[in-house]
Amino acid sequence: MTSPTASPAPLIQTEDVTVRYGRRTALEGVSLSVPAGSVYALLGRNGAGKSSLVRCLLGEQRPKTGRALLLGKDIWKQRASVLREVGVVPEEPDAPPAMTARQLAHFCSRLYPRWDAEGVSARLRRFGVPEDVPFGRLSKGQKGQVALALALAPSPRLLILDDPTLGLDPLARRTFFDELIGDLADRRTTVFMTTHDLTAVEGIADRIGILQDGRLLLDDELENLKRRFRRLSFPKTEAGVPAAVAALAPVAVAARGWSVEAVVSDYDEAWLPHETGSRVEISSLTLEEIFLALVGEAKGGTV
Amino acid sequence: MRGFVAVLQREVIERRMLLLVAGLAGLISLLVPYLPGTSPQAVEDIRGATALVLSFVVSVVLSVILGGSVISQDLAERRLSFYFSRPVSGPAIWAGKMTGAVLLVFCSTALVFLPALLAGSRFYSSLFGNVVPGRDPAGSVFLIQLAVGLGLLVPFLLLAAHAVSVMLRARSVWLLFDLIALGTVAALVQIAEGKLRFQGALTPAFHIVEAVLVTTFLVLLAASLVQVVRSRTDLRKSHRWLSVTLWSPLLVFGLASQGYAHWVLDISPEDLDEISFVQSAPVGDWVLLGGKAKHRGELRPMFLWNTSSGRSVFLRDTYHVLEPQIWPEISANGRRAAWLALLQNRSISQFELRTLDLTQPNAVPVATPIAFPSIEIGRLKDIALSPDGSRLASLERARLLVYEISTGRPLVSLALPPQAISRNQRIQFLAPDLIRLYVLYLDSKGITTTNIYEANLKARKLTQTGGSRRALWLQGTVEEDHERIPIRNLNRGLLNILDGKTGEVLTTLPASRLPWAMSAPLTRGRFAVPSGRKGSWDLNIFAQDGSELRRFHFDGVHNLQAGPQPDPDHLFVVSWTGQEPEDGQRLWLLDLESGSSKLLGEDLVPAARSSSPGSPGSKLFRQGDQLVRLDPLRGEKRVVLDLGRD
Repeated sequence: MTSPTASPAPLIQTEDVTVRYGRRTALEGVSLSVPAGSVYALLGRNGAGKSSLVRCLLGEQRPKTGRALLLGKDIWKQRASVLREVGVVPEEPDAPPAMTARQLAHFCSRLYPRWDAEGVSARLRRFGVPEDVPFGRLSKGQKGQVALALALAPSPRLLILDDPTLGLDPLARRTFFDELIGDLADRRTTVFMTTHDLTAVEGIADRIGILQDGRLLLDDELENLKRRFRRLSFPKTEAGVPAAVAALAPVAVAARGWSVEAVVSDYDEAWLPHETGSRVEISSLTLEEIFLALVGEAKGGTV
Repeated sequence: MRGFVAVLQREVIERRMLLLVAGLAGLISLLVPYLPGTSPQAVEDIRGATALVLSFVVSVVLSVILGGSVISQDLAERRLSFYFSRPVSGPAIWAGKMTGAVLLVFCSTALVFLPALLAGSRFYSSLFGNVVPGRDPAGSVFLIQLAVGLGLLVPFLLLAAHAVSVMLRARSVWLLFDLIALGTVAALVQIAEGKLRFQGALTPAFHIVEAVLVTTFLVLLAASLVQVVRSRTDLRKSHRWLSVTLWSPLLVFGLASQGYAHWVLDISPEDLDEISFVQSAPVGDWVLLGGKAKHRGELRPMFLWNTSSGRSVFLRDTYHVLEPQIWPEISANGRRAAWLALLQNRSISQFELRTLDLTQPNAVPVATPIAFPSIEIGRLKDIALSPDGSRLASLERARLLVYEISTGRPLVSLALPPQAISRNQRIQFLAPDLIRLYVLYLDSKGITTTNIYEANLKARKLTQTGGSRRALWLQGTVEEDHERIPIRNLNRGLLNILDGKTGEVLTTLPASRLPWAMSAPLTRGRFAVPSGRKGSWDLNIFAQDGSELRRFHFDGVHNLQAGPQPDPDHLFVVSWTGQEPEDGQRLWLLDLESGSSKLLGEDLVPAARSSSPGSPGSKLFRQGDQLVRLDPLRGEKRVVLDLGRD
């Protein structure tokens, strides 16, 4: 007799989280969960509400309604104890500018139950980050590496990265993610990140969430997304979008010269293109294309 | 705790340069005395004073600077999230940063102060005693006082600067709310405090000032903590939480202070805990009553109180004695009372003369046009009401002035001769147009004499009528007919009776050498003089010419106190069998005509010993917590005021 296998408890769970700043709604009823061991990438345009959600997850912002659970605990109420198991890389490196990386590491080491001091030094050496230069005088890339080193040093069960590569040049961005991927492979740390770097995310994320205007537009596994989303291209005619394509409820339709492209979010392999009565080309989409189709300017466009 | 210590250390290390600067500033006090032109004898004084001033300035300036930056700057520059994204609780972040700032201020202040202290402490010794700890407790006391003072001032300034800084940095419309709330709280407290001060209730007014400081400190402390814990890294939300937590309790405090002021001033004789004095009107049912109020701090109110109707009017607090100590007056005909009350509004601070018509059962205090600027109140030496209560005489700025109370018009103004100008002067109306002035005069040789003058108001003339080479104790008893002044000579065991007009000795009577054995003037020019020793006392009754009329003997008593008289032929006497005033206290009624005596009871003490014979005050007695009206000649005894009720 075998006992039923329970799916691992999510390390992050938000339940109907709403955040308002005065009259402006930053998040509206956001519910998502991040299973243990997964890499969750939250995407969205500037102002979509990503940072507000991260602030909720770090216990810096109390939701107007709903709650955010980290490691199964309400982060607003038990922030200090929960964060012992969480590493954080902020959007803007916020360490005191006068402190050196060594001082920062020493300061942080006193706050966590575990601390890999050697690992911090090794990582900083590897990336040529001087340990005795004040944080304020480091380059943006170096600051990011310091923040990542500090976040990983306590061997966290959960790593939260708030757009960590914002403002970095492509090479620094690449290095950052390579390093992250290496670490994730070693540690099986659960990761929640917000980013605009869709290409990099596509290589490491298991699950994708897309925020738009404070609402969670999409929350699915990356593989699933790629299977569901398709681009259908067909010639432009007086009749507009063929009825068979319209039946698929495209999320975006855009004219491209003599042809029209429709992106559908729930493509069925059994769908027969010849029913449109015209030649239809079907192609898969990258994460960036899916993102643009959902939140880009062409979204909902008409021919 | 680990987080608190880490944040605290971080704050101190991050701003350690301040300590270096403070150390260098400490050297300034060592160098200043050697500037050109400084006397070598003044080196220690200049060094000490410079260090004292510098350390004070440093503590104040640093408190404001650190208070305005230690958290609010991190908030504004979005660096507080560095701490909030670590496993450190909000209270630990707040406490670590604030404590770090306080420590920095204290250490910086000490670094500025110490070099001068170590270099020589003569300056501080001359100011506060030996300040080197361990050598003299007095010196340590100064250091403790200094530490406690700074210990309170520094956190207060720090918290206030923090609050202001958050409000200004947030740049939200809540700043408008802050300004309105500040104005409202200040107005509520100021009005309550002013209301109390206006009524002379200075102690409760002082309590409000104390309470507003303590409350503001505690609320600032709580508000900054709540702000950090609840709003965490959001500056605007921080401002909201700070404002709400700060102003809500302070607004409640403002309203409470209004309620407190109303409660304090809604006081009557029934609210007294103990009675400290009773002064009776010559006729009628009104008495001046003073004592300590229940549950009102150190408030010692004075009332005009009608012993028949029970009606009372609160005059002022007497705990904080205003200079000069000018007590309310009741006219000789018992129809009008007058007193000085502090009037204060935005532009005027003055003592206003108020009156009460004692003939009207429901009369209310009336403000008169007569007022004395509070800044000049020290020059006002005495006031007196004319026998009919229509005029007020005052001694002010070396002049005797007489006002018509109803109009405030000065009727007479007489300049005083140099020998009549003194710190100790007293005036009495002898008749509507005659005032006597007693002056305790200290001449250029340091000899004190008493000069006596009379002012004829019709003739507008001041004439010296006599004097005495003795320094008459002008606060002592002057007999009701104003013609005789009893002066005791303790060394020789004599009682001299002086002519009130000329100061000449009329007669000399034997009296006790014990200072507390007080004689009492009686009707028809008689005097009651106690004498005795070791448990055997006599009360001698002398006639106006000094001959002994009667002698009442008391065995087994340690002291006697004569007076008042319920009628011209009787005299109350209190005897004590023990050393303490409460021991074996007995009240006697002596019949001056027949020479008989009667024990009336125990624990009864005349409330107003110097009351006029037959006046309501002459029949008032304290018995435990009660004020009792006792008229043994009519067989009357009733409680008129019960202070035991809570």
